[in-house]
Amino acid sequence: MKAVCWFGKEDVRVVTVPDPSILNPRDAIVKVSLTAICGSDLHLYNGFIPTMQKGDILGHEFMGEIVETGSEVHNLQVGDRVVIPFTIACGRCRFCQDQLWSLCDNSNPNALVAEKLYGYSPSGLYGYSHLLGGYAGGQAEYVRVPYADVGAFKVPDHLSDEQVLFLSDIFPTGYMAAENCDIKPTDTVAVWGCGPVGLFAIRSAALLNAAQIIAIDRFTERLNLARIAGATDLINYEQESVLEALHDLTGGTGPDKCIDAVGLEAHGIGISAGYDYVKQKLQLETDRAHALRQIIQGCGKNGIISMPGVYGGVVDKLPLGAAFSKGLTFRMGQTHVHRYMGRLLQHIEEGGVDPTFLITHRLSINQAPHAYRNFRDQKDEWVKVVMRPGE
Amino acid sequence: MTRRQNVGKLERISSAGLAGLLVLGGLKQRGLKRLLSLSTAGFLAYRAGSGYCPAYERLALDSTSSASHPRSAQDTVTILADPERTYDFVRDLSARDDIFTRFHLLPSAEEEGQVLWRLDLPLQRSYSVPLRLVEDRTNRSITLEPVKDDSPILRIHFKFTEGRNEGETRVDLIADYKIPGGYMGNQVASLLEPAVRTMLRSNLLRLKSKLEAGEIPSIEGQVSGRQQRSYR
Repeated sequence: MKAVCWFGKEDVRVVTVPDPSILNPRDAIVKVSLTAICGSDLHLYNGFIPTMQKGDILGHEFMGEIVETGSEVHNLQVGDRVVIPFTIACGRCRFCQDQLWSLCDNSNPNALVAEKLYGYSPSGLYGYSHLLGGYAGGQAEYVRVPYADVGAFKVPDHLSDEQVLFLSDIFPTGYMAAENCDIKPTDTVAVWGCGPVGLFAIRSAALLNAAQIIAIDRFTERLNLARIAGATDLINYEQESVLEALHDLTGGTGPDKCIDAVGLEAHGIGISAGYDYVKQKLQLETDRAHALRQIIQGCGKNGIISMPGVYGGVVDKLPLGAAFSKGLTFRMGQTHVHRYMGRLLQHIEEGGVDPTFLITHRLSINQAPHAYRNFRDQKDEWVKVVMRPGE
Repeated sequence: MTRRQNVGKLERISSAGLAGLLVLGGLKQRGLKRLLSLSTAGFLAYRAGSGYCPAYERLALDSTSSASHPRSAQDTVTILADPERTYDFVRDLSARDDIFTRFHLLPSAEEEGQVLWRLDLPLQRSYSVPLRLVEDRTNRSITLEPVKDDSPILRIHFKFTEGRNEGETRVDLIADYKIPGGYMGNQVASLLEPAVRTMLRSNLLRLKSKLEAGEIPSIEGQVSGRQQRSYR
C-alpha cells in the first residue's frame, strides 16, 4: 500500500510499504477513505517532536471502512463505515471508564519511556512519535486500529466523508477546549490562533452560547473563517496590540475565558517572540510559548485558560505571578475524543455545524509532501488539507 | 607502622596486573610521560603488595569484605480488578509467559509451583535460576525463592492489597538479589538497581494491561516505511 512516511525534518515521502495486519485480538484493519493533515502534524514535519523514527507512517485524522476484525471485536462488521479517534484507548481502565480517554493507562506500548519524561504515561496516539506509542498513522491506504471495539466510531451513510472526518480530532478538540471554559451566557471568550482547532473552538463557543467571541490571528483568510465560525470580533496581531484591543473590546475587564489554540510553535512580534526563537534554535527550550505568555497577561481576573494547542517539552519565562495574582485556572490535555463523538455527530446531523467550511484543499495522498510544505508555508491560503488515498 | 588493609583480593590482583602493563608501556616513553607511568605503576604495585590504599582511607572505602550484601528493588501498580481475580491470574505463573518476560516454567519440572527465572542477555544468551513457591497466601501474597542457595536471586515477592478505589488491587512486586564478589559485587548490584526496577515496572504494566484491557499493547510486526525497498 501507499503511505505517507516521515524521514526527517521537512522530509515527508509517499512510499510503498506492506499492508498492515491484525496484531492483537481487539484490532481491526480499516481501508482509509479520507485523511487530513493536522496542524500538530507540522510539529513533526518541523522536527520538534522527539522519538520519531525514519519510516514512521504519519496521520491521526482519518476514516474509512472496516475490512478485517480481530477475534475479540464483536461489534463491528466488515464494510462498516467508521471514523477513528486519534487517541488510542482501551476502554476498560479507570481513566477510560471515567471518560478520560486520552489518559488511558494501557494503550501506550512505550509507557516506560513516557513515564521517564512525564512521570506517568498518557494514551498512545496514531502516527505521533514513539514516545506516544509508535503506532502507524492513517495517512495511508490501510491502517491497523487497536482496541477497535471502542476505537472505531460508526457513522451513518447519509453523511459524506468530509462532514464526519473531523470527528476524529479537530472538532472534538475545539469543542473540549470550549467546554473546558465553563462558558456562561455573559462570557467573553478569546481564542488565540484561527487554525482548524481554533476555528472549531470558536464554533463550539458559539454552540455553548458565549456572549462575545474574539478571534486572534494574523492571516486575513483565517480571520474571515473565524467570522463564519461565529467570532463577534477579530484582532489581527500584526496590525494592533492584542492586549490593548482585548482591553477595549471587554470594557477594561479582559476576556473571561481564553483558549490557546496555538501551542508550541507560536509566532509573534516583539521581544518575547524573538527570545523564544533564539532559545529554541539554541535548544535551550523546546516550545515557543509567546502566545501563552500573552494569554496569561490578557486574561481577566478569575479567568479560565483552556489549552488545546500542543506543548511537548519545556518553556520558560511564563508569567506565573500574573496567573497567581489574578486567580487563573488552567485546563489542558489531549482530547478525550471518544467522549464527544456522539454528541458532535448529532450537531452535524441536525445541521448546527457544517465541518466542511474550513476545507481549502482536496488532494490525493500522492501530493502529501507538497501539501505538508504548503500547509506550513502558506497559512493564509492553506487552512485545511484533506487527502484521498485511493486517488 | 603496619596499616590496616582496605583493598580486596580481586582489586589487588587487578592493580598488580595494571602496574605491570604501565611499567612495560612507561619504559617505551620518555620524559614526563615515562615519569608519570612509572610512578603510577609504583603506586599500584604498593597497593597490590600491601593491600592498603590511602585514597580509600580518605574516602572511607573498604573492598576487603567478602560478604555480598542483599539488595531489594520494588515497584507497584494499581489494577482495576479485584484482589481475587488478580491473585488467581498471577498465581498461574506457568501461563504468564507473555507478561512476566523474565519468568518461564521449567520445562522438565513437574513439581507444583516451580518456575524458572530467566534473565535474557545480549547476543541471545540467557541466565536462568530455578525458583520454587515457598509461600502462597490466597488473595494476599505469593513468594518465590531459589531452589539452590548460591543463586543471585534471593526472593521474588508479590503482595496484593485493595486499591484506593472500589474494585482495584494494588500489586507490589519485590525482588531481593545479590551479586557475588564482595565489595565489587555490591557496587555492581547497586549500579544494576535501576535496571531491575525497570524490569519490574515493565512486568507490572504488562500485567495491568492484560488484566484490564485483555491484551498487551504492541507495535511489534507493524508496517512502516522502514520496510520499503527504496528506503535510504
